[in-house]
Amino acid sequence: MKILKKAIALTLCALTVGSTVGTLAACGNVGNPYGDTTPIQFANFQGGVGNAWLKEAGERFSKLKAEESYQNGKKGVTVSVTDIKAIPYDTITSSGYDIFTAENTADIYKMAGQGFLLDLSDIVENVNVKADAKKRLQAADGNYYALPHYEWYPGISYNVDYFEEQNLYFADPTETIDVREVQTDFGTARFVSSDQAIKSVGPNGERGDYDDGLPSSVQEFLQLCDSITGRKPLTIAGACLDYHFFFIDALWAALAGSEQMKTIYSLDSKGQAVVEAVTNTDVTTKLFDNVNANIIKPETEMIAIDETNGYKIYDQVARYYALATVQIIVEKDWFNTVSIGDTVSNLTAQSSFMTAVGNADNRTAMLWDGSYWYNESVAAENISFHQTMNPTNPDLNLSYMPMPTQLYGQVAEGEGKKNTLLDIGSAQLFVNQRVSEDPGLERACREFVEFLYSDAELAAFTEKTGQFRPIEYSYDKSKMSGFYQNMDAIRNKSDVVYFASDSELFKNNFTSFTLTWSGAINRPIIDGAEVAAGSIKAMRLHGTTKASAVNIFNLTRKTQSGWEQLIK
Amino acid sequence: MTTSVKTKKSMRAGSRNKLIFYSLFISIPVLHFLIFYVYINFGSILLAFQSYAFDGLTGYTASFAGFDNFVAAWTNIWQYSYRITNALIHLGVTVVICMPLALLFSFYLYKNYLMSGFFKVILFMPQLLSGVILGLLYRYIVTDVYLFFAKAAGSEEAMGLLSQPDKQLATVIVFNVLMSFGVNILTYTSTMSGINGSLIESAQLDGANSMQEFIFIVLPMIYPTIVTLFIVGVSHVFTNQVNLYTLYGGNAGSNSTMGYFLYVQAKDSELTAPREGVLSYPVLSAMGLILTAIILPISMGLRHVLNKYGPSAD
Repeated sequence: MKILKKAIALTLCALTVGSTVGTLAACGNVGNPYGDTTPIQFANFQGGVGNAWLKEAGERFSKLKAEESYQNGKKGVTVSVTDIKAIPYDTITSSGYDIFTAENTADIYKMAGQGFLLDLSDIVENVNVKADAKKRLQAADGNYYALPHYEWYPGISYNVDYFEEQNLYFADPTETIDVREVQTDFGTARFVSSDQAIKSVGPNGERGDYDDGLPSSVQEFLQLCDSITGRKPLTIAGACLDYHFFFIDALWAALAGSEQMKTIYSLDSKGQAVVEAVTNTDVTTKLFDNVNANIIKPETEMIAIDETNGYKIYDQVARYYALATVQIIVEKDWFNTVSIGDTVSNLTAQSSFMTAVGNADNRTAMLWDGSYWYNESVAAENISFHQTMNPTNPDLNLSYMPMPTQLYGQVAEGEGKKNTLLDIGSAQLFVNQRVSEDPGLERACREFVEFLYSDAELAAFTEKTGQFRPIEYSYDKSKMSGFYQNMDAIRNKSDVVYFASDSELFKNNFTSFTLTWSGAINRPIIDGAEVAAGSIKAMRLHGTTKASAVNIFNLTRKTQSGWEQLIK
Repeated sequence: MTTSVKTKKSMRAGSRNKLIFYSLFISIPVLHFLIFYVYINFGSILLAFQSYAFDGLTGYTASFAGFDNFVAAWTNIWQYSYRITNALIHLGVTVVICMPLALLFSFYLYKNYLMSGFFKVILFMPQLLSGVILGLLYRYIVTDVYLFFAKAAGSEEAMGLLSQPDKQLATVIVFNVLMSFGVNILTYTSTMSGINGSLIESAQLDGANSMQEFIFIVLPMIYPTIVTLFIVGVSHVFTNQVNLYTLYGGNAGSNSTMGYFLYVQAKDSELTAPREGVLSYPVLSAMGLILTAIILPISMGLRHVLNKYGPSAD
């Protein structure tokens, strides 16, 4: 009996000790999967560029450094890639990762101020980072603690084949023969009726480039949507209605232009009254004749922006016009069926856009998603699936759509506005300060970062992922997909507005200025409850009387009292 | 003499072994208490009286905030009082629907009535799956599947049940009622199985029917367990997020409860408020203390009243 008791007691003790030791062991590395090499733990943001590019780059680096010793008794380097979505910003130094990539939310200024990041000035100075984007990398001590990873832009994409097949391009005013006139709720649309017809000059007013025949005004965009028959104009993933701002930001930026848009981060228009701000929404003038009476045309004035009146940065009338367009889209029910189910993912929406199967309510002409979406669909094998299913027509002709640059009518030749792209992606790469405790590991990390930003690797990244970095470098366009070749053409003729600024106020309150998911600008509070999924959800939940464009616009403006708190 | 020394030695060795054994076992709960109670609460109280400022060169600096954080927290609670209302609605559902249903089902299983074995498996089965998976399945059912059938029935409805303002609360309640069965029934049936069989037999001999047996024998016998579960429910009223994050992610909107709000806020928060609509850690800490100050006396008072005036097993 005594022996039995002792045996039970010992077993229980062993179990307790075992479970404790096991738990502790699980926190560390059990075994050594890296052999006698120096491991670099890379936390790769689980987003639109995937990890294939990084794994390939890691292998090339390992090969290059196979004979190099960074730590005592070790030779070579192994880059271990872990995909993570939630970056542990507050606990980076104890996270176990050496290098991180993150989209838009990485507050480099604050993390560097807390001593979390490794100074990368020497590397940054040898990379031709674009001046505006470089501001994001700098901390209060003047040193640089990050490198730009990639840009992506919110917006919509369109099916070029379908547009060509259906002649959905606007005709040039000089074209009088091959013209198809369509009566819409937004006036008479003049489309080309053959591929021989002369297309309009598009939003940028230049003939013979990527945007010819595309809607140059909000009115033309609405005419286009109203003219599409046989399929729905737009698709947005029902589970991702928080993508609502993709279209709003893209249209807002295109209508406002880069000069106005930059003030939302710089908080300084250099004394110039460049911002057209809403002064009164209590008016009765309608934006278009055949729309809901609450879609009004507000009164505006041109103002200069500085840090004293910075709360007016979201008062731009262009933002209101974008919200009003969303209200019209919702009221006209221009979304296909995948936008309804709360469980329909972005990948399903992308697939429905590409495959265009099913009935007229399911097929769609345009996709509401960020410019990264095509790469995401490649990784999810949506593209290869389409190619397998369509052996006779495997190559999809898709393109990002530059947004209209004026409210009414059609842009005349030479009178357009340069396209503006908002870098919402604003991804960064940074290194854990903790690696400096191990000189060998620090050297390995630095050399790997330098390697990633070498000319050859910069090119390899863009050729592989189709994503661009705000750096001066060259790449072989022919290696990119058709979608990203089109994107490249658009980007080359656009102004890109980066989520960066010299303003101390901006830097100290970085997250207050974000235009992404977490931004208060995208989360109206209606009936005391925040609609985190944004304007489309708000309009569906509360109806377009209570959650009208003008109400959402007013609810998401920055307040003077809030601004005073920020300045304090 | 030698035997006596040996005995003393072996007694000392035995005591030492017992002490080691005891220390090893007690160390885990003590560690748990120190980290998750003492440290967390100490940190929370400390944070509630501090405010932070960030400087690019020196990082965060703390200063004494007096009761500013409490004022900000109270203002927020008051301004969005629907979160309290929602929490109370869910507590009401737990008390009025979940507990009686769980008790009745438990009694059914305890009595081994028709197909009780089958029901036991059916009711416990969902507990084998993760709540997140169940939540996902439920979301599909109340959105895609619901819309499919609604359309087939000729309805023009364009939104799932979780999105329709007049149906979303009921949809969340149904999920929580379904989720509540497993653990509650397990607790009640195991308590019921401890009831002395002779008591039941005696009642049956006196002609008591099943309902009388349930009301006059079983309920008083398991009353302490009912009180415990009830008090646990009440004390969690401001921390229970009623599976809203599983169903809505961060977008529960007007369905939010205090527990859900605190969870989502803590997830997004920082030492200083990161953006409009998100409270800082110090304000959230103050909010936690305010809610504790409200619910603690209520829970203690209720427990006292229920134990004093409730039915007795005697």
